[in-house]
Parts: sequence; structure tokens; C-alpha cells
Amino acid sequence: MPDIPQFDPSFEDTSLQAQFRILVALARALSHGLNQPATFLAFERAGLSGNQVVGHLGAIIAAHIEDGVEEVNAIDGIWDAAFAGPKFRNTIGPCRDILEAIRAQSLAELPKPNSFFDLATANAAAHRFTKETLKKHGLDELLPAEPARVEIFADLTAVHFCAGTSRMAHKIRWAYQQVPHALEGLLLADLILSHEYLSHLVPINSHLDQSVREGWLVSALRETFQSVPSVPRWKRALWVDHRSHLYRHFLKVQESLPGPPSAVLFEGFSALDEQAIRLHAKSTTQFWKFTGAILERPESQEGAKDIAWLLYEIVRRATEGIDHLMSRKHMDIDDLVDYWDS
Amino acid sequence: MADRNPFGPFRLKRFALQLRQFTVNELKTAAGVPSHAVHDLLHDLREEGKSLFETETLSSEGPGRPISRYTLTPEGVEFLASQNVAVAKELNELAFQEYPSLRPRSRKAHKATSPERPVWRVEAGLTIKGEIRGDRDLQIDGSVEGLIELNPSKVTILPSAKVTADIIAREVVIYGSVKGNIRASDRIEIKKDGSLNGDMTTARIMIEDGAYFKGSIEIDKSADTGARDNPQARAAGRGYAVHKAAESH
Repeated sequence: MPDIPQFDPSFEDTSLQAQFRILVALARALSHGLNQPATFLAFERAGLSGNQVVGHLGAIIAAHIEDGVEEVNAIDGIWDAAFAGPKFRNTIGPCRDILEAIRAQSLAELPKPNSFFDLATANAAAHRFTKETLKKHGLDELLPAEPARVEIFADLTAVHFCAGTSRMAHKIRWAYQQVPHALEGLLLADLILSHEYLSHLVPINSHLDQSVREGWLVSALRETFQSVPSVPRWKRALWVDHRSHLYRHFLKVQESLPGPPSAVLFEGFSALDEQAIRLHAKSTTQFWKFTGAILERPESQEGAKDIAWLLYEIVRRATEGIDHLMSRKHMDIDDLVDYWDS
Repeated sequence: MADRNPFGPFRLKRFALQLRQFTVNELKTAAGVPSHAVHDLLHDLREEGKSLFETETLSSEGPGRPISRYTLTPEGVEFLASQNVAVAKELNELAFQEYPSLRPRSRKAHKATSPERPVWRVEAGLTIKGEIRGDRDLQIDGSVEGLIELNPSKVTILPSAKVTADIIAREVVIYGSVKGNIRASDRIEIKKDGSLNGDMTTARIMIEDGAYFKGSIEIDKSADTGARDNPQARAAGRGYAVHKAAESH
């Protein structure tokens, strides 16, 4: 049984915990609703998508959540505001019925004990998923045998990413944030935690930069779960929107800092994702051979620079870069650097 | 397919690639574009005359267009991705103009422009007893007894040097004599006439003909001994360079 998350002192305020419970209740109800086979078409016929429904509710929660309001009243208030808004106001027929069912479900979820256990379950699932993914490619020894501990902290204005990892403490910190994409984050908790494992706990070299952790390895995760039946379609689509919302939020935070905001600061070089997609589509084996070479690279600042340079070369060399990776029998970072640097 | 503005469709194509399977509604939401932009993209892909995507009609009931779901074929993935890669060159250049330090440099370029790393030296005739810690490279020509812990650095033991110490470093090159255990995150080299009496843990090893070595070798890509069965120790081991950097403040 996975450990229940711990609370950072910043999250000991009971009103924040109550707000978190509201988010969890909505996430549970939405997850249940989006998993129903009839939901997708009912939403589409109404010109809606699952992502839009989640986004609409997420924005209302971020704007309306208040201290000291009874949780049941708070959820009712959120739904009232949602149905008053342009996205839900004119919904009729099956779409309306589904939204009302999700509303009722979210109220029914509130009295259920321990909302925080959802994160523990997601953490166990993420660890299992990462293990299975790495095992397929002979890399599972890189993952610690036990899941990391999860700790919730309050980051109301979302200065940080919604999750952060400390390898030294073998701990993942989950941020409770009052931002529109916080609801998405809870719905995607298992995938976000999988990202924490694959991008932050598994790679040996602690100096790897954004291009690796938020670029190549995020592509690796997405390309993997896209073909896994246990990850429902709505979740795959929501992940794409969520990363985009994170990026927009990142740009907003960057505006208050010196220097112009840039996508490169968020996820590395432009079109690195496209190159990862191309290589993965051509050969999953070659893709993971290369990814494995990155993950197994020993601790070294210079080694991290080599990898950043290689990734940039893969983008710069376009089709030739992919063709070369496809032709490699042995994928060794030093060999690749020597070859392209000669 | 003629791009009207190469940067505009970049986003739309990227989201199409990331979703791989989408309805018009889903793609327009993700990319934040109007429906007609998605229809234009699908139209352009059809115009290519290849099977770049497959269409599945989900429902033709009700008013308006039937609801269809589009799935990119492998050819469609390659087509859209290669188009975005071509545009990316300009986007990356713009980013590097804003942040020149982000432009990655090859090893050759780095060597050509980087000043030499500062080096500490233990001169011939000098004996140091105790612990040496820090982040500079170290060359030893004299004697050292104790502990050498220079995680991010290179330690070179010169031919006349005598070292009786455990060494933790990024790279250790031995021309002289060492008694002690060595852990190097990158590599250990024992040169001709060099000698090591102790255990080695590292990712890469080179022992030249004529070198003397007595001890055990553990090849460990993470260079964190004994951590495979202990995730916390392993995580801590991997993070040791960061740990040391924090300590040095």
C-alpha cells in the first residue's frame, strides 16, 4: 500500500486542504464521466471536448475558490458559475445530462475519506508505468525499486511547476496551486508523476538541461503512453493541452524576470519534439537505444553539454540526423559526438 | 503545401502531431485556432495526394457536418514533422539571439573558446596530510595522505607523486603511485609506470601496458557503489555533485 502524501508546513492550513479536497472531488467525478463511452460523442455533438469541459471548470475554480465556504456549497457554486458561462449555458440533451451527472458525482465524492490518497495511488501507478516502460528496453535498473515519497506544498500563485523532484531525498513535491490548469494536473497526476520519474529521478547525470528533461524525455513519455490502452484517449488529449497551458503559464512567470521569455527555456530547442516523434515512428528500438544512452550517461557537466549539443544537432541536421540515428547499431553518446564533431 | 505564414501553422502542425488522432474540435482547442484553420490543414494534407491521414466518421446524425476523427498515418507524421523541423531553424536562431548562452557548442568549439580550468598543484617536495575538497582540477607532484574529494574535477597524479588517500573525482589519471580507493564518475586512467593499490569504481577504465594495479574494479555507470539495491542511497549517490556544490557555498 503506497504511503499517503505528507504535508509541507505551507500546506497545513486546513482551508487550503479543504480547497484541495474540492479539486479532488471534481477530478474524480470528471474522470468517471470522461471514461463513459457515451461522453465523447455527446460532447462533440454539443461542440465541446473533454479538454474544454475540464478547462472551463478549472478556470472557474481558480477564480471562485474561497476560504471558509462549506465544501458542498463551494462545489455547488462552482457548477452554478460553470452553467452560467457561455460554454455550458446552452447545452441540452445528452451533453447536459452528462454534465449534470458529473456535478452530482462531484458532490457525492466529497464525504468520501482521504482525498489525498488519490495522489498516493497515482504515484504508485506512475512508478509501475515507468518501470514497465523501462523494462521493455532493458533500462529498469535505473529506476529506484520503491516509489518516491510524495509531499504536498502550497504554491498558490504557481511560481513552480506543479511537481518537482528531489533526488537526494527521493521525494516528489506536488504543488497545490490556484491556477486554471490545477484541475488538469490532478486528472493527469499519474502521467505527471511518470514524467517526474522518467525526467528527474531516472537519468544518472544531474546536469541534464531542459532540452533533455522537458524536451526529449517528455516526448519519450508521451510517445509511450499514446500506444498504451490503459491510458484513456481523453487523458492523452488532455496531456497535450496541459503541457501547452504550462508553457503559457511559464511565459507569464518569465515576463516578471529579466530577459525575454522563450520556448527554449521551457522545453529546449524548437522541433526537438518533432524529431523525437519521427525517430519513434520509424523505430521504437532505435529511439529507446538513444534515450537509454542519455539516461545512462554518467554524472558530468561536460557530458550534459554533449547531450544538449547532440540534441541540437539532431534538430539542425533534420532528416539526415534521423537517418544517422536509424543507421547506428550501437548508440554511444561519445561515438555520436565524435562522429558529428569531426 | 504553401505556408502563408510559416510560424502560424507550426503550432497547428505540432498539436496535430502530438495528438496524432483528433477531431476538428479537439485540434482547434489545443492549438487555439478557429475551425477553418484545422479544415485548411486537412485540405492541404489531402492536396498532397498521399494518404497522410485516415478519416473515421463517428456520427452523421444531427445538424451540421458529420463528426469525424482523423488519424495521422506514419507518412502524415513524417510529412508534418519534417515541415516543422525546416521552420525550427529560424525559431531556434531567434531564441539564440535572445539568449546566446543557450546555443549549444560542440566539444571542439568549446575547447577552442574556453579558458583553461583553474588547477591546484601540490608541488614536488610538498607533503599534505588531511582532506582536499573543492571544485578545481588538481595536479599532484608531491605527497598527499588523507582524502581527496573533488567531485566535478580531474585529478592527475604525476610520475614522482606519492598518494596515500581515497580519491573521489570526475576523472583520475595516474602516472605516479596511489594507495587507496578511487571513485570517478567519468573515468580512471593508469598510465605506463603508474601504479594503483586499491579498488576502482567508475564508468570507464584505461590501464596501459606496464602499469601496476592491485585491487578490484567495479564498472558503474552511475559511479555510486552499492546503491542498486537501495534507491535512497542511489538517488543520493547520483546527486553527489549537486550536494557538493551546495556545500561549497
